[in-house]
Amino acid sequence: MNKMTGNGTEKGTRHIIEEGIRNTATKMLESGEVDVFIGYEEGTLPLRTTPAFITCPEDATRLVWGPACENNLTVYLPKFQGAVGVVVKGCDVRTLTNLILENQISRDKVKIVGVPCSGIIDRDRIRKVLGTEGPIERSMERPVRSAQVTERSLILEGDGFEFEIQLEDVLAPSCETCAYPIPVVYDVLIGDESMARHAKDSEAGYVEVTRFAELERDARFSYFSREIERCIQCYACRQACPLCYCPECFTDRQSPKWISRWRGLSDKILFHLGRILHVAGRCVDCGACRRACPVGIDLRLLTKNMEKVVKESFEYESGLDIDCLPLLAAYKREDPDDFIL
Amino acid sequence: MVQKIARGLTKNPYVPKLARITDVTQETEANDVKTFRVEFCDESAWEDFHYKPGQFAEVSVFGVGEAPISITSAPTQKGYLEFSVKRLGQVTNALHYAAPGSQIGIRGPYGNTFPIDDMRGKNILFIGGGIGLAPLRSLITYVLSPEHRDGFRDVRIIYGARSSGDLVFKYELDAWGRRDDVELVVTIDHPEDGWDGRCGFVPAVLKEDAPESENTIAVTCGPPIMIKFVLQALTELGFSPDQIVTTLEMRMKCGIGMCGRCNIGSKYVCRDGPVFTFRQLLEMPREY
Amino acid sequence: MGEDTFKGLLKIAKEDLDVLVDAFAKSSYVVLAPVAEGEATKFGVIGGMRIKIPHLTTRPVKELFFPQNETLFSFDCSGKADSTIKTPDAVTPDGVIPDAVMPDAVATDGISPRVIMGVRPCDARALVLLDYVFASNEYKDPYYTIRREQTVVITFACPRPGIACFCASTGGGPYDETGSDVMFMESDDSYLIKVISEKGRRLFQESLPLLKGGCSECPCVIFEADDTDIRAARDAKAASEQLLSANCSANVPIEAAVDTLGRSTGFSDPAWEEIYRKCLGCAVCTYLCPTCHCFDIGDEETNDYGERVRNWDSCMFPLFTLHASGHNPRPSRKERFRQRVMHKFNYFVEANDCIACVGCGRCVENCPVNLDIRQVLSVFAGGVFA
Repeated sequence: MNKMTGNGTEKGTRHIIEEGIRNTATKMLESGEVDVFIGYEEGTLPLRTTPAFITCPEDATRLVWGPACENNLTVYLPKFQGAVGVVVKGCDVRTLTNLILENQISRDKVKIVGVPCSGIIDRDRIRKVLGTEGPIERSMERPVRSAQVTERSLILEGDGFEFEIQLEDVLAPSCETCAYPIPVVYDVLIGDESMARHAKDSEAGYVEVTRFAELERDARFSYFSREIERCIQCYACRQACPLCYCPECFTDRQSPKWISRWRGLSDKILFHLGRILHVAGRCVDCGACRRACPVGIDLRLLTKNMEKVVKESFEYESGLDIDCLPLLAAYKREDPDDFIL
Repeated sequence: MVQKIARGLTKNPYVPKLARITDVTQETEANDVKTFRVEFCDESAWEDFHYKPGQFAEVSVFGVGEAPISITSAPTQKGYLEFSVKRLGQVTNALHYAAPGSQIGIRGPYGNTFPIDDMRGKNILFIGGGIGLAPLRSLITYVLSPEHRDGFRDVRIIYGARSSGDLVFKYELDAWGRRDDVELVVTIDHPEDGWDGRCGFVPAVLKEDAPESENTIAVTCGPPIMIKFVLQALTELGFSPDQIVTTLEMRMKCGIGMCGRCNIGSKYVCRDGPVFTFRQLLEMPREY
Repeated sequence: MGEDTFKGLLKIAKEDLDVLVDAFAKSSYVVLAPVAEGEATKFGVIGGMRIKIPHLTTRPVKELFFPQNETLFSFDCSGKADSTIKTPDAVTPDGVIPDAVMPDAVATDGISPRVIMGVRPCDARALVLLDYVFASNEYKDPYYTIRREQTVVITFACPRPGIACFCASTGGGPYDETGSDVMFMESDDSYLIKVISEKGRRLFQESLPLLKGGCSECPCVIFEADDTDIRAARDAKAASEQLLSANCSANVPIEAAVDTLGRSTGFSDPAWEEIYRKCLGCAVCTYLCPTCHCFDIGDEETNDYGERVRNWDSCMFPLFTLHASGHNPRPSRKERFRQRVMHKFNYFVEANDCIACVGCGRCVENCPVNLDIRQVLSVFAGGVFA
């Protein structure tokens, strides 16, 4: 059996949080505060959980918490009918803040259940730790058949092997350098702030994009093209993004037709750049797009860089303040304009 | 050594036959419906283009795309095809810009046909709304043609549009109205200056006129909301679901049952339709 | 599958696989096999690379027959001259239409025969299902058909089914031969080779004389399998099937689900109201599915030159059924999710008497929110969606 969540015997942090989420969900559903409570439940594969829409208090025991709770559940909130409770990590709540600022859900319709986050795991990194050369060999050699989570490690079992990996070594890249592991806005905070991972300075997250930016232009473009070229245009990145809520995406417009599904690299680039510009000043680097991509395109190269540009230009970090104007809706005299030709 | 196969892709169902627009008729006052008469560039194209009323073709505007459009002419009219097109999407917009002489592509004919054999010896009641008269017109022309008229009994046509300016095929309405073997009722939604015909929605007019259901087949096409109430009215008038025939529209691409989008349940509108009896519709999921 | 699975088998040492591939190439077959593309895997021309067979490629083999993008024909749309329509008269092995459709290029004389190595039984079975769509009706899709005719599918039986696999529940299995021309089965350090179809037989007849083994004179890398080999292969098959059936999530009650969905109440079952809720509406499940085959047709045009193209499309996209009038018969994710499930487990069954799912598990593994088709089917089979 795959237990991706709190272990029943020890009263570890994870277990305390899981209990807290269940109790909160029960309470909110019983009191009628919310019609639906959105959290995580056990998934059907090792290292997976899945979103759960709980409507009866007795179902709250299905809810779980652990380092496999990867989805950003605020993606379900735009246009949500009724009152809803939602479990959010430090990054998730920042997209929720944006949804509230952008009038996609009203603050009084959503009960924010914040979780002090200690980071979630990245399945691609786990495969790389297990495997050797490339993706083919990884798939040949070591299918993980079950996984267990302890306080600090994952124990993976496959055909003829058992392998322990430190969680710290397989965290999602956005979690490694997370500056806001504790939700900045909440109605209820489960557990306490000490249960979160130590916050990193935001600058720590920009090391990689800074290094990339220092490469020659041709090198940058060829890496970028190689990544984007294998996009299969399934739009999972867009669909997984809570901030991509437009009823009709520019990508889908038929007249004029901005993007073709035809095999051109330029259309794929246009889509990804267009999307990233549309989330400029809004994206919080939650990593949902990166995780959703079935072919593993390095989308954080774009999201992280955009975040950096916004921070350096406007001293603005998205989703931290629920009472401000969205960046692109606000104007200050001292806003830089050196990017305008 | 293995022989490399060298062969042309003959019988390629995706390749249209080239055709030329020979005549364009503005149908509505708003000019949002035009009728195009087209002829194949190569006469031999007719050899495998045998159609019957109810069928449609995929019409290409090269560089823009293809759209499924019902054939509004009748096989009794030789040497040309006619399509009545409402300006809605990309292809239909491009068609509206096409002048006589423009070259387009036609592939088909696709889909099933009106159940002509079942209609023989019966009264036929046509009920159309707006551009929905286009597919019916093929059958009306067929039934009223000298070579087939004797095969059918009384023909009654109830046709309506939002306003007099929205009526299509006015020249034919006149001709049909003058015939003594056709009972024609034309109605518009609201009274207008200079309009001395009927007023009121098609389903209401249908109920007022209350045509006899016995030995009659009703054929209807129009906006979904009209069809919905027409079906109710016909049922009230005693028509059984087998006596009611309609033709459906769905977004289509291939026209040959492969591209997977025009299905209603397990039926593909392009292949198993577009003509369905009300009986069939009742058995299908309500997803159209 | 009867006992004759193991009759008349050939055998090759695993380390000699590349020698065999060389022989295929020498007898003018283009050889395709799994290749890496970033972190993903797919089938591609391997050139001189060593063959490696992953558990399952990220992208299924269907795209070699039904590519994501394909030119149907090209045309002049300058408006000055009469449109001239040119159809591609050749298709390259990796499914890309060559220069033949470009107005100025010289047309090649045909399509080379090709061998695809390392297909898994689920993907091979899916090809037979695609044949129902593209090659069995009044109209045949020539682009698909010619690729099918010119391809030898060499399937590698699955010694270790994965955690998301449920092929046995769909009528297939880790040693299922449906859709395979040749099947390779692991047996210790060797592969046992079963030649299944006429196409497979021809491949071996043509290639074996070209084999170069350890010595320069004779083709001494292919042998007849002996009883010990066959025993080992039989054990491997039993172990594989055991591994699959021991994974309880691989035992999906598909028959019961198909029965429920096939009743008049299947379409309006109240379970649809809940079951789709976490669906994000992306096309991962459909684009990575070896049997999904929906496509869009459109024109791509630059200046006076145009191509009629087809691209994969997905029933999960709202535009898929949007009428030009603005009406959409499947307006929400509920209807679209239902369409995907109903198409595979009801509509396809009504049309072809079999389900359009081979249990490869790609949609299970790649769904961003772990919306698992096995669970969905369990609900319709009378289980609980939990």
